[in-house]
Amino acid sequence: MVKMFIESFKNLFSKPETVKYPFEPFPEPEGFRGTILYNEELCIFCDKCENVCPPGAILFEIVDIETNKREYNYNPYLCIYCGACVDVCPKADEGCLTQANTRTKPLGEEVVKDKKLGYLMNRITNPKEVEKAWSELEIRAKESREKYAEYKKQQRMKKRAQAQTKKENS
Amino acid sequence: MINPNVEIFETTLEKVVEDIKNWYDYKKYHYVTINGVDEGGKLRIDWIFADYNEKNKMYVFRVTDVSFDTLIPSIANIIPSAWMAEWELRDMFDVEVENTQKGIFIKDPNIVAPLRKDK
Amino acid sequence: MGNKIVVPFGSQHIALPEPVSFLFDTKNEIITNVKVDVGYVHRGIEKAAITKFEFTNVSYLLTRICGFCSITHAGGYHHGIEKLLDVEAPKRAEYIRLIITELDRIHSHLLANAHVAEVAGYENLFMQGVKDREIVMDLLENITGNRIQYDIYTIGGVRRDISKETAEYIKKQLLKLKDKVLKVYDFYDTDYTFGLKTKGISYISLDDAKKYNVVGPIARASGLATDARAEFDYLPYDEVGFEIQTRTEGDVWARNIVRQMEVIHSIDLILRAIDNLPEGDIKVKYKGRPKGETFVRVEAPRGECFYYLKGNGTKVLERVRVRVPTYSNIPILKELFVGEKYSDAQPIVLSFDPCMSCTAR
Repeated sequence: MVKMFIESFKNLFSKPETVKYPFEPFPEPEGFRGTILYNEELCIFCDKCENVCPPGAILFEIVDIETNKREYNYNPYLCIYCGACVDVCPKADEGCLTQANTRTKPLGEEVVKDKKLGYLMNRITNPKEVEKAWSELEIRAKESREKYAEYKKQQRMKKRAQAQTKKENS
Repeated sequence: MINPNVEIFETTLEKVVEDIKNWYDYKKYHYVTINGVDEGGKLRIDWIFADYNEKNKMYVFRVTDVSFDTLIPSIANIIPSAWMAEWELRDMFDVEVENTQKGIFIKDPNIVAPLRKDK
Repeated sequence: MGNKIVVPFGSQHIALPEPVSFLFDTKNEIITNVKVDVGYVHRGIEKAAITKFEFTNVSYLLTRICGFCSITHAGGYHHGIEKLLDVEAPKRAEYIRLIITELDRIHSHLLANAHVAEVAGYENLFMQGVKDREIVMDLLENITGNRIQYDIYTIGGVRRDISKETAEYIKKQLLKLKDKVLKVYDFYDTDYTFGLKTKGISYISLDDAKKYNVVGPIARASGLATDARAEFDYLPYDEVGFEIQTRTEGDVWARNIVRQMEVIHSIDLILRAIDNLPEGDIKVKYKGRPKGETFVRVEAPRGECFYYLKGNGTKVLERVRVRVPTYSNIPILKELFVGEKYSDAQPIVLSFDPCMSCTAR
């Protein structure tokens, strides 16, 4: 009984075990797997990260078919933070694709803006539109691939036709 | 890494229950699961067992070329815990198994036989 | 003599961590018949694994079957695929895998025990257990970068190394944890009222355990020495001196004690593994595509987990079969309820530590 009282008295004045998170900072440890950050200047557009991503949270959209200009899009609310894209990136050591050790902010009043999060996140302002915009982008990206393949095919046909006419002429 | 020492007994659908009944001893062997594999329009069923005493040892009773409309016999009389795998087999491949009901895992009546390649 | 009353237990119930439904026919509070439904969370993972994902990516899908066993699923898959690809992970990688797997087992067991204490009426003990568990979670976060989804396995090795400082930190924290766990262990072992609620409840004899092919701590609490860590070669458990922990009482109390014993043994295993951590690479390269079939058994916190993989030389596997421990423990759980009081149903279910998202996949 006395032992119990001593124990409960101790507990009254000891520090709490929990962290009072919203009022106190609760930093992530070193090496935490957080947001994926992208640097366009270093990217060689090999599409490896897009192919490896398990949930498909990275998409490259071909915006200009003639020059094959691609835009990197990333959805931090679809990402599972496994880090497979960073492992596969050939320029990861130079900082093309890196994994920060902080969490992405939850989707609250506004969408997080950062140039390193890719194009789509910077274009949306209303957080309720993220899901819709992403599903539209998925369709658009697929279509742009098909268009690009079609364009390439036509180019090849043209070249072949040109070569043939050259042959006939000479 | 050592590959598991798997012993495969090829048998037929008519004989498999009797074979397992004659071979199985619950004190020595450990029933693992029943597994179905779609091999291009035909079903292959494995009854898988492990050994309590011997390391890396596994036993497989294998029946190949089962068509999807034959009745598959139940081993729940010999191994009372086998009923779950049999119910699952019915759900996943849409085959008839003795004394089973549909709907342990797939509740939606529109989804039929997800692990079959032709559906 | 009372009338027959049907009492539903689940799929949503305050004592259940996951959706499973039992329909009890009761007579004067004694259960006479049980109907069970386990498939509430079927997500078609086996189907997705053979259609949507390449073999290099399937692991990220399979680890998300369940939070507690995520490392087990990664283990089962990778040990299988490494056999199909004919690669062997380096020794250091194997040891790191072992350390993470055992840490995962500790946190799962601590929560399972705490849960039993909670439904038996000991909320304070529940808090003690979960408080200790936080130490392990922090360790896992430190090593792998995440609390639940470790993703440390990769084909041919592991993705992260354990540095010298981290190793020291793990050792320090684990020794601290061992003291705390021993204190709680004492309480589970000797407390009189906790014993009243758990001793002799849902007894499984050794014979029944073998007949129903029970696995995991439930089997070991009945004296059946079955453990995939000893029965199957997948990690260097022999080298760190693994021993099977058993009890013979076979009731809810014994299951808790077995789990607690395993926690202490796991701490010892990790300490030995860290002391003998071999030097060298953590990853080797692999070539080719998986071809052939393989059977793998690994030990999840809840028992033996079975994997069957079949590849046909393409990027996508032909069949992935996962059989999880709860899947093979449900049949005996169903039989056990008959003859017990309805008020004991909660501790019985939770002493089995059921994982429905694993079972339904």
